[in-house]
Parts: sequence; C-alpha cells; structure tokens
Amino acid sequence: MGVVIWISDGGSRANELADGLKVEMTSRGGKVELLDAEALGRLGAGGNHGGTAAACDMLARHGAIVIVIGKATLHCDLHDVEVQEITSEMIASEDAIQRFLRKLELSGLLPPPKHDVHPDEEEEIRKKLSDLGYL
Amino acid sequence: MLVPPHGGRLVDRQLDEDQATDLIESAESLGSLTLNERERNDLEMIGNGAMSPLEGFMGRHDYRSVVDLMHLSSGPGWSIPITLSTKSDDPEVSPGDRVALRDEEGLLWGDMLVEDVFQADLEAEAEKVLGTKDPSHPGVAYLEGLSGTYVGGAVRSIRRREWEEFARYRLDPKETRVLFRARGWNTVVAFQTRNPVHRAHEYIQKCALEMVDGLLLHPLVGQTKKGDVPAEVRMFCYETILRCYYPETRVTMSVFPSAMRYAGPREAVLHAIMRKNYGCSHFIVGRDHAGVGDFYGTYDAQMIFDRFDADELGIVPLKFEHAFYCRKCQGMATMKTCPHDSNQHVFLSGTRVREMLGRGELPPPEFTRPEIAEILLESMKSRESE
Repeated sequence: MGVVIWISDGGSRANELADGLKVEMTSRGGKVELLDAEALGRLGAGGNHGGTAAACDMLARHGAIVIVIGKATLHCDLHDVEVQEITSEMIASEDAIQRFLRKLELSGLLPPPKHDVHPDEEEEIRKKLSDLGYL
Repeated sequence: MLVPPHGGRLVDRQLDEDQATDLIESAESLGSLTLNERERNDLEMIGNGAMSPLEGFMGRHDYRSVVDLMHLSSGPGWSIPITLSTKSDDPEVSPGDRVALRDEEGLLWGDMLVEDVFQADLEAEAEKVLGTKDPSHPGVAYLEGLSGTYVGGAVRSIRRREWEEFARYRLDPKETRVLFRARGWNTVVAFQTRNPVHRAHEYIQKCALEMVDGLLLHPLVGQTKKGDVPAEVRMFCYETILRCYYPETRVTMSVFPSAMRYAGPREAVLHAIMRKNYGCSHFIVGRDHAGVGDFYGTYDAQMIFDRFDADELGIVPLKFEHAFYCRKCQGMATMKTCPHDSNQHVFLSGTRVREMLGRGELPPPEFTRPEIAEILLESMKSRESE
C-alpha cells in the first residue's frame, strides 16, 4: 500500500514542512514526490483536484510517498492508497509531526531512521561490552 | 545487517542518571501507582526497548486490539496485553496526570503520563489470551487477583542496578545489537528457557546454530512460578555448558528479565517479538513453548506463527520437535530424523529427573551432561537442607 500525505494548510509553513518531510523521508530511503495541488491545477497537469488525486494514486501505488500541498481535500477515492492529512494545528507542533511520522512508520508506510544507536553511544556500549568480557 | 526492531525503531524510555535523580526528587510531590512484580518487569522491558514499539502500558485501543486481533491498534502484530492495574491503595488518576510508579515496598521505578483509565474485561482477556478461564492456570489466577481497572500511558523507567540480579549478564536490546554487529553476526538465533539445560536443548540450539551466524542464550530471570528451578542454578548450568561444549566465538549469553505469563502460544509470539528487538533474526520454538500443565496442545505455540503474514513479525520461528538420545543412532535425534522404536530413546520427564536427584542419583549422560547433573544434584541437596 502506498501513502499520500495531504498538507491541507497552504501557507508558507506548509511548504517549509513539506520540504523538511521530503528531506527526512528521502534520507530514510523513501521515494518521495512533492506535489503542489494548486500549481498542478494552474499548469493543467492535474486539471482539478480529481486529476491531482489520480496522479497521487498512480505515484503512491508505485511505491512513492506523495506529499501534496493544497487547501482542498481529495475528491475521489484512491485505491490501495492510504491518505494521511496534516492539518494546520499539527503543523504548529513538532510533537504532532513526530507522532505523525511514527504512525506512518508503525503502519509500514515510512521506513524508520537508519541508525538505532548513535555512534558515540555505540562506542560507550562497546567499551562496556569489552569490560564485561563480551568483546 | 541485523533485523530491524519491531515497529522500525528501538524505543528508549530509560532515564539517564541525571534524569533519574531529578525524577527521584520530583516524585515526592506526585501521586503513586503501585507495581506488582510482573508490572515492574514489564516497566523495565518497555524502558529498555525490549517491548518496542510500546512506549508505555497499553490504553484501551491497544488492549482491545491485542486481545481480540493480536495486533496493536497502530498495526504491528502483538500477542499479549501489557497493562498496569490499579491497586486498592492507589489514588484515583485521570488522563493528563503524571504519576510515580513504585513497587510494593515504595521504591520508585519510573513515572507515567496517564493517557487512559479504563475497565478491562478480565474474563475475556483470560479466555482469548490464555485460552482458558480455569483458575488453576497461573495466568488466570493472576488476572483474578486484579482490580479490573487498567491505566495506560507512556512511561519512563529508572535502572536500579543495585537491585538487579545477574548484572554481568544484563544487556539491553541496544547493547546486544552492538554486540552482534561487533562480532560480525547478521543472523542470530535466540533460545528462551526457564529450565535447566539438558542435551535435548543443546541439540536443538546447535542445529539452529548450523543455520545462522550466532546463538543468543537468553534465559528468563523475571518472575516465574513456584516449583521452577531457581534462576541462579539455571545460570550456573548455562555458564558451565557454554564453557565445556560451545564454541566461544559463536555463542553469547544474556539474561531476559521478563515475567512469565504461561500463556503458551500467545507468549511464544511475544517472546519472539522481544528477541527481534534484541537483534535476533530467528527464534527457537520447541514443543509447548511457555506452556503450563495440559492447557495447550503440543504444537499450538508453533502453529500460532502461521496466523501472521510471513513478513509481519520480522523474525523466523524455528520449530523443533522434542529431541532425545537414541541408542541405535548413537546420537541425538528427533522423531523427524530417527527411525527407531521409542524403547531405544533416552528421555526422562522433569518429574523423573527430580525423583532421581532426590535419591542422590545422577541422570544418565545421554540425557544430561555430567557437569550439569552434578550442579542440579548439589542444588537439590542444598535446597533440601534449607
């Protein structure tokens, strides 16, 4: 199943958040496509939100994490694609965004971060293991 | 590359020394919830990441989803509810409260941000999770002693190293992961046990070791039931057999400080998930794993893994038959590999072994290594003299 992340607040913070999410998700190995629903409409590429939804559907079904910025919500059903919305209230809270990312991870929609132990901590642990005779 | 933790990342809810000192000071002004022994074990396992992705005791959504569907409400497979029950002297708490978590002696073990307080259906929990409502099952007896009100919320835990048994063997999941990487192991099989090690165990461990890079012996040292062999005796048996019969570079041992629930098949799944968090790619599931009495079928704990999609649990169960020494084969075998009649098989029940040891007799070397038999005999003698 793919995922479409719909950022329903179209302000500058939404763009900043979308860029940040793209960097974070790409660093985890996710294939990310960032779409601006309004821009797509102006270019005629999406034509309307129904067209944008179809584009999202196709991208997500092929494994992309699709981030869409747009005030409106998606107007048509997507097939085998999870739609997760980031509201303006969530944008204001770093905690809410982290919880959002964690939810995607637990659903298997977003790869987790690559390192579970920081290199400095790993060094400390290696020393402890060595002192205990494990290494 | 090691298997990733369950839910993608290792949870770390343990406080460092400075944070623990702050909590010890501030906890005086907090209301306290009392932890029984199992809950204290669970708090440690949540805190150190062994129960990842759990960050605390379960609220109602996870509880119901786990009891009914064997999945967390967020998606990952999970077989046993991890809950905190209110006790008769506990204060009333509400969502949003921060409370201290103390044991029955009042010692502080952590804190919790309360997110949910709810009434549990303990009868349904017993029936679905334990598969029985019979009060002679230790898990049912435990549930019958609870208030029925559960408190859910994210926790933070304090390490009390001065109270920890087997400190030298107490490795957290992030530590075993570093250990495995340092040893160059990509695939690791875990062996869970709460019994002394006999040759049958040794045989299946070594069969498994033929397939993977390393073996983690992971004896459970948390709460067990009366009648189980004391953990210190079991640990001495393991130290001895490792020294005498295992290749040092391929095997390691650490303790598993989790409480037993005797929930058979469901507990086998939980044991596997937790070993995945420790970095293990494979998990040995023998006959009647985590069972008690005759409550579960011989292969229930193996078959339950078939109820999950292949990739869902992220750890491979290695299902083993009971092993024995065959006089005709002149070696260890199972019914899968030995064609001979059972009268050629050396197998002793736990009761028979206890009877022999009680008479001062050593079990035969085909059943137990002599070094282990001596330890068990000495242990039996010293317990009798006490």
